[in-house]
Amino acid sequence: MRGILSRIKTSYLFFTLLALSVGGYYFTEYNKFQSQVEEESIYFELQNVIHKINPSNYNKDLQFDLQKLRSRTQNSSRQKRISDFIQVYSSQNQRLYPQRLNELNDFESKNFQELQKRKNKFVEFTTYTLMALIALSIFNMLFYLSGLQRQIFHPIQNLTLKINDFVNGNYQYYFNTPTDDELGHLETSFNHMAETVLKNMEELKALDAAKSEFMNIVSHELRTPMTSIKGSIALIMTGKWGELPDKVKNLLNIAEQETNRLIRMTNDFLDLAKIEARSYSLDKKWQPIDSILEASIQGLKGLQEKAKVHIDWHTDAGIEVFADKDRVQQIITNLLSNAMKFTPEGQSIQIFTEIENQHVKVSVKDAGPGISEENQKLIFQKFRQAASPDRPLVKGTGLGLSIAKALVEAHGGKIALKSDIGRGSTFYFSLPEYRRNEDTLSGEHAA
Amino acid sequence: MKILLAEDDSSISTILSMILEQFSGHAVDLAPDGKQAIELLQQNYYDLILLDSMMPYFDGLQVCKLARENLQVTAPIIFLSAKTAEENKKKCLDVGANGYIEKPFDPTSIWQQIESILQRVAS
Repeated sequence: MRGILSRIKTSYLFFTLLALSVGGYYFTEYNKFQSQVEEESIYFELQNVIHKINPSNYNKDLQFDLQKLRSRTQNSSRQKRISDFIQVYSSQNQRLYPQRLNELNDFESKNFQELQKRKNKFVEFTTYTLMALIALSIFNMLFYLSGLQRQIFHPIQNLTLKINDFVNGNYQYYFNTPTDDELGHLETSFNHMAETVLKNMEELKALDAAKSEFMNIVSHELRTPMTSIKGSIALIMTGKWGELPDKVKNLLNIAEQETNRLIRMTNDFLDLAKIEARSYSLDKKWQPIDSILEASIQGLKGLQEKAKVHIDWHTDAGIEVFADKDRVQQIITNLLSNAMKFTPEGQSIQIFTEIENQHVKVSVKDAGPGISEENQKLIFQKFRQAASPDRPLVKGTGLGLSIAKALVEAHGGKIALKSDIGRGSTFYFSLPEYRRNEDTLSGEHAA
Repeated sequence: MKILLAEDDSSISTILSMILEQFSGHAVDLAPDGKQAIELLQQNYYDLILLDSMMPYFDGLQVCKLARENLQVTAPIIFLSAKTAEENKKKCLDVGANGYIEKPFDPTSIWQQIESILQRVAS
């Protein structure tokens, strides 16, 4: 696989080698330059020595100097010239001395000019090399930037767009064939993941649809025999086929009540299954919490009369909630009917609505026996019921609190309870979407 | 009042026909499936038709549609069904039903429910 990383490495290697070549070439030229500098300094020292020389006065030291200079130079012609000169000087050859001296001086001045030329050339060369290296660096950088942009940033941006599209529900996720490198592989992996996610979503949708279908079928199958049983009992109890003995009436009453309970339980269970289904939707509207409370209390009038309990409700001014009216009423009714079942005759149930933690909090406080800590943990589970109260009002289905919990959570709220043995229980739930509407008054109500 | 009751469950049809006869004063015609319901509709006139949603051969929706469109039945048609979802109720009204009663129905109040639907239709 030709990856982006190997491409980066390759081009990096290429430019490094290029720079090294240029550098290396410069280095060799520099070495040459160094030797030329040496030859130049030999020129000055030689001139120095020549000036000190008195042709008629032989100085061994000066000869020694000349010899040293000769051994330093790399130029063989120069060496020869110096040797010739040394020879006439050391041998005190007055005849050849002027000639050799001229030859040497000629050579030296020509050589010196040559050296200067080469020095200038070298300075030029250095400047060109420097400019070339700068240009190379700039070009290198531009090459990288455009390469990075094309090979890395564009693909990353494209993939980010794709992911955002997907998150927003736009599933057309094939832009183009992914390239055969690291980012291309990332894109391919993302495509695979997207496919898997979509497949799972389809499966979940199918499962949900199957569940709804199942619930419809169960609903029909269970309700049909219940209808017959209820109908039979009701017809017999009309007495039209004969007056019934009391014992028979009692037994039929029991059968009727239990049938009704069965119907309620089935309705509750199907209701709960519906609420817990992913596809469940709430019909939310803005309305005062007080009107929902009122409706709930009205609906339980019959139960309240049988229980002989009072209801005191204290509400905060003009709170409106964005919620499903029927469902919130159902929550309150469930809590309230529980409170009625467990509050002794003559005592009161307290209802509070207040704002707490940016939520509307509704609390229902009963005067019942309280709930132990172990039971508190279990109470919202399906079919959990407290021990039968002293007077059985209406037998529960065991699902009231589970349904209340599911509905509260469907609204984005929380439900909980506070209780101590012997001091009653307070069930409270919160709803997050609320506003104040100062037109309605707060108050204390009694019912 | 001549009543046709189309219902495949024999227990329900027995009980319901007993209740209906008590109030209508007339025997109720029973159809145990959609096919016989159609046949009876073709042969007789009825003042009230009660249809169960789920039946063999033709279901309630199909019977209702046929009755309204092909047999020119103008009498009130009421559905009895255990399907409680809103979309099911809407489907019934779409094919020409006048009302909908959920199962399990309350035997003591079903006649009142039927009457209130009939009153609504008459007005």
